[in-house]
This record gives sequence, C-alpha cells and structure tokens, in this order.
Amino acid sequence: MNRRRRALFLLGMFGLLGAGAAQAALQVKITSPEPGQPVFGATELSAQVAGNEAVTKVEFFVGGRSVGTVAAPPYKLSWNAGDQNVAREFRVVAYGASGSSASDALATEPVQIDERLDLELQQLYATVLRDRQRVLNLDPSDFRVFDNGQEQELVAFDRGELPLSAILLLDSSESMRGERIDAALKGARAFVAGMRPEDQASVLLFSDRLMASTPLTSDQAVLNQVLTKVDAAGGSAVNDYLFAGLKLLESHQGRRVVVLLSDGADIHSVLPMSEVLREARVSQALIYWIALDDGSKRKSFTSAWRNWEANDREFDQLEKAVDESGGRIVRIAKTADLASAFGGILQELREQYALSYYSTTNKNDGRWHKVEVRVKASGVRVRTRDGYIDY
Amino acid sequence: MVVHRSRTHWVPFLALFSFCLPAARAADLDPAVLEGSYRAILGLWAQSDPRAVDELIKFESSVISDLDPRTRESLHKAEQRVISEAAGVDLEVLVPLSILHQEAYRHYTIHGGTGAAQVATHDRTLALDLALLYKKHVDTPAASVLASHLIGRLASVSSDLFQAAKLFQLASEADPKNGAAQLGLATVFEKSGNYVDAVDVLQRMRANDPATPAKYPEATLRLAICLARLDRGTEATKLLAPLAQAPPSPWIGLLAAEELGRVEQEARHPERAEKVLRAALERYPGSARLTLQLASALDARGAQQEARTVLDRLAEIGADAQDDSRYRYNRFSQELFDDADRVVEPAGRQRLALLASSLSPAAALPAAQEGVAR
Repeated sequence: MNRRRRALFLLGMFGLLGAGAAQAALQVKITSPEPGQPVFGATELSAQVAGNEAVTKVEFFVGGRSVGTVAAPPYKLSWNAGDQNVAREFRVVAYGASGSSASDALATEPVQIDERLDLELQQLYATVLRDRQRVLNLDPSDFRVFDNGQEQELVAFDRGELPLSAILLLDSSESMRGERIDAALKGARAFVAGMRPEDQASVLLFSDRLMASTPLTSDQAVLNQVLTKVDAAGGSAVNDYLFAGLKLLESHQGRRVVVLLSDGADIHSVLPMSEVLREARVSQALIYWIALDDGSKRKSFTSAWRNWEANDREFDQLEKAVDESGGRIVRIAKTADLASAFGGILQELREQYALSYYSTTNKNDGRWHKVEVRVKASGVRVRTRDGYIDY
Repeated sequence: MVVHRSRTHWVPFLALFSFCLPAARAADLDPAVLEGSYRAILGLWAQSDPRAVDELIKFESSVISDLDPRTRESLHKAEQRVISEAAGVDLEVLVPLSILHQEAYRHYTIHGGTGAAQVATHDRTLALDLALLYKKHVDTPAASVLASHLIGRLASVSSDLFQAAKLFQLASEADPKNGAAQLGLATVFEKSGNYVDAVDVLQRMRANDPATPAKYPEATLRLAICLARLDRGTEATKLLAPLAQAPPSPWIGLLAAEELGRVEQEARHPERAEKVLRAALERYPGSARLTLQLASALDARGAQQEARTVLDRLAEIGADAQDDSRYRYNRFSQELFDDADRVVEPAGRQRLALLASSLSPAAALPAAQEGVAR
C-alpha cells in the first residue's frame, strides 16, 4: 500500500498540468496603449513577449517611425504623444536570439465629439497645499495659469463657493456587507448634510447592478431616502458605474465631481477602464476615489475576465483618470475613517480655488491642451486637472 | 437514515462522544483508538447514515488540532490501515470511501471551520488517492470512467485554482471523454489568465467529440472569449455570432452578445457593434450591461447625446435586473457535474453493502452498531 501510495503521490506531483500547448517560438503583444483609445501627452508604450526563445530586443514604432528600443523586460518606455487629437498607429517588433522576430500592431482613435459645449471659458479647480495643509489665503495675483505653455489672463476667481454637481457612487457589493456599507451610507449622508442649497447631487448605489439611485437634485430628503439602508450583495462593477456617473454629469455645466467609494477588485464590468478614462477626459469632472483597502488587494488577482496584467492596467488607468481629473485617491484602511473621508472631500471642494480664463490658444481643433497652474509662493503644491480637449 | 426508532434518542450523543477526541498530540495518539473511531464512522456510512460525514469531520478535526505534521500522519496511517483492510476484501469499497472523504472536503470548502485548511487538504488528498487507487487496481474502462467522475466532482468544489487544475487534469486523463472535466480544466486556465492553454484544451475537446458544441455550449463561449483575448477576433466572431443569435441558454446568449459587441468595437466596427447590441437589447431589454455597452459604443463614435438617452434607461432597469451571467462565467458550472452525480451517487450506494461486510466487526464500536439497523 505504501509503495502504491507513493507512486500515486508521484503521479499527483509530476504527472500534472501538462496540457499546455507548446508555445510558439516568439509572440509579442502590445499591452499599452489600448486599441481604439485616444492618446495624448506622456504615454506608456509596453509589450509582452512570450515564447521559448531568448529575446534580444523589442522595438516600438509610432506611425512607422521607431521611437525606442528596450533590451530587457519589462518591455516598456515612455513616449510623448503631444497634443494632437488624431488616430495613431503603433507597432512593436520583438527580436529573438535565433534571428526570428514577431510583431504586433494596433491603432488608437481620436476623441469623437458630436456636440459643442460653450467651453471656451475654461474653469480650473485648484487645490493648493503646503506641508499637506491646504493654503487658503491666496489672491488672484498669486496664480499664473498656462495653457499649452502660454500664460493666460484670469477673468474670474473664486474660493470654492461655486456650486457643485456631485455623483456619489457607492460600491454596495457583497464585500461591503455589514459595518462597511453602514459606514459608507453614514459618510454619504454626512456629505449630503454638508451640501449647500445651490449644490446638487445624485446617489448611485451599485454592485454588479444599480441597486438604488436618485436623480441629480438639491433635495436632501430625496438623497437621504436611498442612503438609509441597502442590502449589499453581488459583485462589483466599478468601471460600468463610474462610466455611468461621468455620463450623467457630462451635460451639466459648472463644477462636476464624482466621489467613488469602492473596496476591491472589479470582475463584473463589461466596460474596460480605458473607455472610462476616455469619458473622464471628455466630462472634465473631478474624480475622488475613496479606496477602502489595506493595500493588499491592488494588483493581486486574476479572474475569468482579465489576467494579472490586464487587471494591473485597469488599476493603473483608474488611478490615471483620478490624477488627470485633479481629484485624488483617499486610501482608507479602517472602516471607522470612512465618514471623515467623505467630509474631508467636501471640505476640500469648499477650499478649492476656481480659476477661469478664455484660452488664447483655442482653435476648436480637438487637440489636447495641457494646463499648468503655478503659485507665486514657495513650498506649495498645486493639484488641478492635467488638461482638456479643445472642441 | 435507517435507525431503530426506539434508540434514536441516544445515538447522536454516543456518536459525539465516541469519535470526537480530546485535543491530541502526535505522541499521545493511540493508533487503535484512531482506527476504532474511523472504523465506526465507516460503519455509519455503510448504513447510509448521513451523520457519518459530520462525525468524520468532528473526528478528523479533533485529531488534527495542532500544527504538528506527525499528528496528521498518524491519522492518515490509521485511516489507511482501516481502508487497506476493507479494500483487501473488495476493491469496490474504495468508491464509497472516496465519496465520504469528498463530502467532508466539500463541507470544509463551504463552511470552513477550525483547522479547516489542514483537514480539508487531508480529505481532498484521501478522496483523490482512493479514486486513483480504484482506477489503477480495478483497471477496467468502467472503473476509469467512474474514477474520472469522482475526481471531476472533487475538482468542481475545489477553491484552490492550482489544485482544481491538477484534479481536472487527472479526471481528463482517466476518461478523455469526460467533457465536464475538460471544460473545468479550461475554466481554471482561463481564470488564471492562461488563455493559450485554455484554447488548447477547448479545441482538443471539440476535436475529440464533435458533439461538444451541442453538449457544452459553454465550451464554445469560453473558446470564443479566450480567442478574443488572444486577438483572434475573427475566429471569436464566428463562434459568438450563432450563440448570440440563437442562444442555447439566456446567460450564454447574453455574454455572447456582450463579447461580440466588444470584439466588433475593438475591431473598429462601431456600426456592427451597435447593431449587435441593439439586437441583443431587444432580446434582453432588462440588461444593464448591454445598456451601458451600447451607450459606450455610441459615445465612442461621437454620439454623446444619444448615449446619454440610452443611459437614462439604467435607473428603470435598476436592481431588478437579476443578471448572474458574469458571476456564472467566473466559476465552475455545477450543472456540468450533474452527469457525474448521476453516475457517482448510485455507484456509491450500490457498494455500501460491500463496505459494511468488509469492515472488521471485531474492531467496530459495538455500542454504535447497536444503534444502527442492519
């Protein structure tokens, strides 16, 4: 029996997992940028190489011209796409030690817009920090605004008094059940309670479906109706409902904000984050992401929908969408800190500077305009959105 | 459960005190006590007494109460000795014994419990070994098929992807016609992000059995989705279109339409994507995901206002949209293993009498046997 068992164990240990097909000599795939998505500014070009042959180098091409070569993994480099809102062709070639090569190609698209909003008046919402404390005593003369490198003249200046239109997007999936969802609802109620009469908000409680929602309203009673109790259940579709939230705000003028609370991995969305990122650029909403995690969930899972690398990219793009928007990620390790996170965001919005100008560089040509805000004071940091599309 | 009515009141207490041992250390374990307790549990199982699984769990948990590997080894050896005795009389008893340990393993994967990881590993290992022993030593085509189903069922409840892959692989090797096991293996590869191997398994499955698309439409869906992820969109489209147009089941049809829409969009055919998604929304008007996807497709081609109009429907759809298709896709379909249940469960029952007669009566706990009808 023992000999038999040992043999069986050996069978178990060594006779397994041999179903994999023999890998081709060399395969390469572009992993960034994503096909069909608009590309502006500093852009990561990356590729994955597979196969049973040593790789000598990987070369990246844009529009047929070589933009760089990488000799060892990870095969990625940064390339400046500039500000043109145009279609681009990317190609990568991996070279093997035996002289073989493999290639992959994709095309990105310009942002398509079918309507023109009156966006010639550009509004920037800037948070100014010194030693992580917000600086609140600045005047218009302290600010310098640059649009595509050209200094602009401010035509209006406010200190956070501008009304806001906010979407509160609360993950109500199974993993939020219990004290987490209770704390989330409490935090959202605190946000609503802090709203001013001219502010408006909409609440979306989502999991892998829309659990409850309100229209965009100033009526706190309407908002609080869905913030009393929810039966947290199902998976989490962050991409899908972040997209929906951004779309909801798209047609509204003024200061637009999305506050997303989510605690974990998204394996239920039908939309990739790249499409959300595109929408985030168009909508120009500030995105605040309250990330309820201990840091260990990020980049640590795979599912039937996405492999490790794809999930990494999803996280990266969500972070990018938040950063570009001028919002920020608020990481929460303890449920008890949730309510103060909502309150902190509202307070930050109240303490933002609103800077308005008519761009001297606008041509309505669909190009990406890089925006920079400088403050004439030492030791300060300014957070605002990275730019906008000129349409 | 067949129990003398007059004695039912004391049987559970007896069982509890008989098999649940005080916290043990390897050095303290008396092999004879371990064997006696295990034999008595097998006696319950041989009588179709459903308490056998609970008693096995209590017994093994109480023994494996420390982290000393020698404790587990002592238990393993004691159970092996009893199994060897019984199998020495008739190898067919390995089937109900494998099922018993499989049931204990299933319990742990669902409910957890103290020391669950160690005991679950112990039961999974034993259930697998017994199935493999059965296949190897009975060595008939029927035994291979039965062993394959035993292992496939075991794999289907495994929460560990590596173990599940190992088990599905063994089940597939035992019976290459076990479609459920092959589909399970492909699912594990897919969940691990290994689309190349998933495609390989699914294509072999179709090559080995031309009836695969009809028997396992899920296999066609998985193959198409994996091909799409490997940038083989044209092949994927050919497989997805029929599933979307004539869905073999609603969840497969819904996912096929979603993926077809995505493939078309990524291939820069927005009109085709829109057509697919609109047609699918007629079939599944309550699908929030198709609604979002259509809005995104419209948005991508510059129809922002129309996209917003489409999205307005989301609030109407709301929480009533009970769409579990993506959840189902992300796990093993238990229905796939209905066939295994239909084979395994009667096979186990048929062999219980053999198990009863193969257990040494002298070593069984007499009191426990008194409470159970023969």
